[in-house]
Amino acid sequence: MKIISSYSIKGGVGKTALAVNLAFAFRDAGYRTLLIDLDPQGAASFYFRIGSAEKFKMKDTKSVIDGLRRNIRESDFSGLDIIPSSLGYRHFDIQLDAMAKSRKQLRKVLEKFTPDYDVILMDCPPNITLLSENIFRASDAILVPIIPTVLSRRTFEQLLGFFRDEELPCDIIRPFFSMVQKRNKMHRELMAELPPLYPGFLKTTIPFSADVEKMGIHKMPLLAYSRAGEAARAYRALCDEILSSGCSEND
Amino acid sequence: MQNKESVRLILPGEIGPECLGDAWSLVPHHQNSSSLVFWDTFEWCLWFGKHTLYRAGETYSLCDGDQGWPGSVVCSEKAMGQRRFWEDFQTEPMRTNLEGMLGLRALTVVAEGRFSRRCDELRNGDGKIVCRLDWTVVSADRQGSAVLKRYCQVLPLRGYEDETARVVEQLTRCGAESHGDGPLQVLLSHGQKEPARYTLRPSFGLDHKTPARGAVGRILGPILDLAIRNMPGIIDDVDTEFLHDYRICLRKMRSVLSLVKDVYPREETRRMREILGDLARHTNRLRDLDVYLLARNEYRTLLPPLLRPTLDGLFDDFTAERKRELRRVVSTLRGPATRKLLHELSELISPTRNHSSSKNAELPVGPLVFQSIFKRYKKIRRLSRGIRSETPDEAIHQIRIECKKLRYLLEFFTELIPGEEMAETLKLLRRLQNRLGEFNDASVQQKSLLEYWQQKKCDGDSGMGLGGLVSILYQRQQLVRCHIVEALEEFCDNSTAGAFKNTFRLPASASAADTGQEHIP
Repeated sequence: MKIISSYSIKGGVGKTALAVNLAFAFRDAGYRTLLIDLDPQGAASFYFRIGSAEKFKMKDTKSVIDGLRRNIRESDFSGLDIIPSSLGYRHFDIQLDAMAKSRKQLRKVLEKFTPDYDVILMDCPPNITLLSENIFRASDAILVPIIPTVLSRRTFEQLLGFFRDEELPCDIIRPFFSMVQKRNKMHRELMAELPPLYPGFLKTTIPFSADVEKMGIHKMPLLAYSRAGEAARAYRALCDEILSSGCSEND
Repeated sequence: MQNKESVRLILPGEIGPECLGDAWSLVPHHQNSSSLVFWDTFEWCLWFGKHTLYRAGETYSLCDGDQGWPGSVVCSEKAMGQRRFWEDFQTEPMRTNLEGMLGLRALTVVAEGRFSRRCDELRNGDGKIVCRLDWTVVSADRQGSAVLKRYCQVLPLRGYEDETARVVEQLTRCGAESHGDGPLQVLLSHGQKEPARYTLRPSFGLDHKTPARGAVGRILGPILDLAIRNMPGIIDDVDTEFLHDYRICLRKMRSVLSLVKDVYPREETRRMREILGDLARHTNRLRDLDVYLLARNEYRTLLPPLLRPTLDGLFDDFTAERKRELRRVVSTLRGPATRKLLHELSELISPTRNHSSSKNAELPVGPLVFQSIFKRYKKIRRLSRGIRSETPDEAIHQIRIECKKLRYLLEFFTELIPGEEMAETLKLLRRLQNRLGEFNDASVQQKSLLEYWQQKKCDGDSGMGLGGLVSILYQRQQLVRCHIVEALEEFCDNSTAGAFKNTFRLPASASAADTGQEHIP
């Protein structure tokens, strides 16, 4: 089983669009995929027309596993299951804090889903909390969408700083450019500047596209209704790059 | 991902999606109609292997599912023309899946029908699919007018089980039933076919006290029926297993008559054995040719690639000879002489026939057979003492025959034998018999190839190929000989002997009183 997170400290960078379409692409490639919507905003769940998760107790690892399992919903696309978002996840940090080895609990929980899935993808909330740290320690790869802007670069460097401070492995961080506008000079300059500085940079870039925004109207992943568009092709290429680069493989 | 159990419902009359009313948002997904031809073997290998193979248009699909309900497609293959054996399929998943289930058996058409399907998606208020409905109308004719049954399969989505339960409840209120024959079962029944287990080792309903003649009669009757059931398959040349099984049945009947002695008057026993011998004898050459042709690929791979084409002439000759031989066998099987022999045999073994008395007819079969089994085992033990790596082939052949007799006795009377103690011993016997069989095959094949070589005066390339093959078979025979010595040691060691003694040696009093035969020391 591979555990992959779609993560960014900054919101509005295409994180959820990535999680939703990548989950669809993995499923299309034949991988049994579970998408966990950890963002209380629940956008990923919305794109699959799935309502909020039922509340469950989070007093220990077992109760979290049972609760998550009970909330698995099969999407309209066979081979892809979703654990929808819940406002209750906002208390995750407090619950985790109360547990022993509070920074590694999530990995323990997700390992219980090993027999059922080939890939687990997490759409993460945009912040750095105890839950985020659990996500970092649970993931085999952390995909970080970066809009080629100064602010995005700054938050990415903040993330790297956190990893260094906490002695987390920086090589699992896989940034890539998101919402790229090729006509924008600043985008072009930053896209030339950043990758040589960070060896884990993925080559595929996701273009800014109205097609992606229309996901809200269609209430389904872009790849489910527009396979030929530039953005759809980019998500598929990103999936292929992740599969071939080995960043989704277990140790 | 968990496998979800779909709910299969049989619909009364013409109820369909409309019976769900307006409470549900039903979105038609797709519909189609196709004629399906279902395939299986004489032994119903696929049915009992919980699979279904059908052909729709030019596509073969192998599905899981049992009791006549085709489930999800395991693999499929586009194909022009007919497929009879697993090796006729071209794609690897199909070949691998079918090889294990079919073995040497051929596929034949078992049913045909028209399936009109309509698939709907049931959506909730958010537009999310909560379950899928698969409506199927099964008809017996290609036009779809002779409707046999209507079905609805409710396919739940994980996490939406409550909605599925409500749909099932609603359909049940409209008269749908969850129990009944699946689509394939309905088509089979329409064609008056019933899948039945096939075995060469049926139960005979014996116990220790069954009188010996009655017991042998109960064995002979079903085995003769089995032999007769295999005859149409030989005549139609469906696959080689029909002849194989037919011959085994004849051999088993012959064996039981000689292994359980004096249950019929001597002259009648002699006549039955004579008939069985005659019936089997005229199929000997055809079986030999089947064995060679089945081993064609194996023979080829024994030789280096350069020499492989040199065997083509041999197999072309065998193929041509098989055609002639089959015509001869078929004509004999269809002829009045075979009919007469089978009729006479069936009269002789009929339980209503008035036989004159014979020595062992009324003795309880248990002690009689146990004595015979123990005697066979002791004989094998005695014969095995002289076996070395340089022992002549004939001595090993003799042990093979004795093992076969012992195995038949153990099989015929398995109901009388306590299972647990003998299970391990039977495994050892099977292992030994496999080795002895390999040895015999290698020996017979060398002889036969050399005869062919002399007959055809093969020289040049084909002579070289044949020579190579004979040498390899000889080496194989020598190798197997060593394994036979090991297997014999295992089968004749003290613990196996102890198991035989505990199970089959009768107390002196029981043996003498019950069987009237001499006590075995």
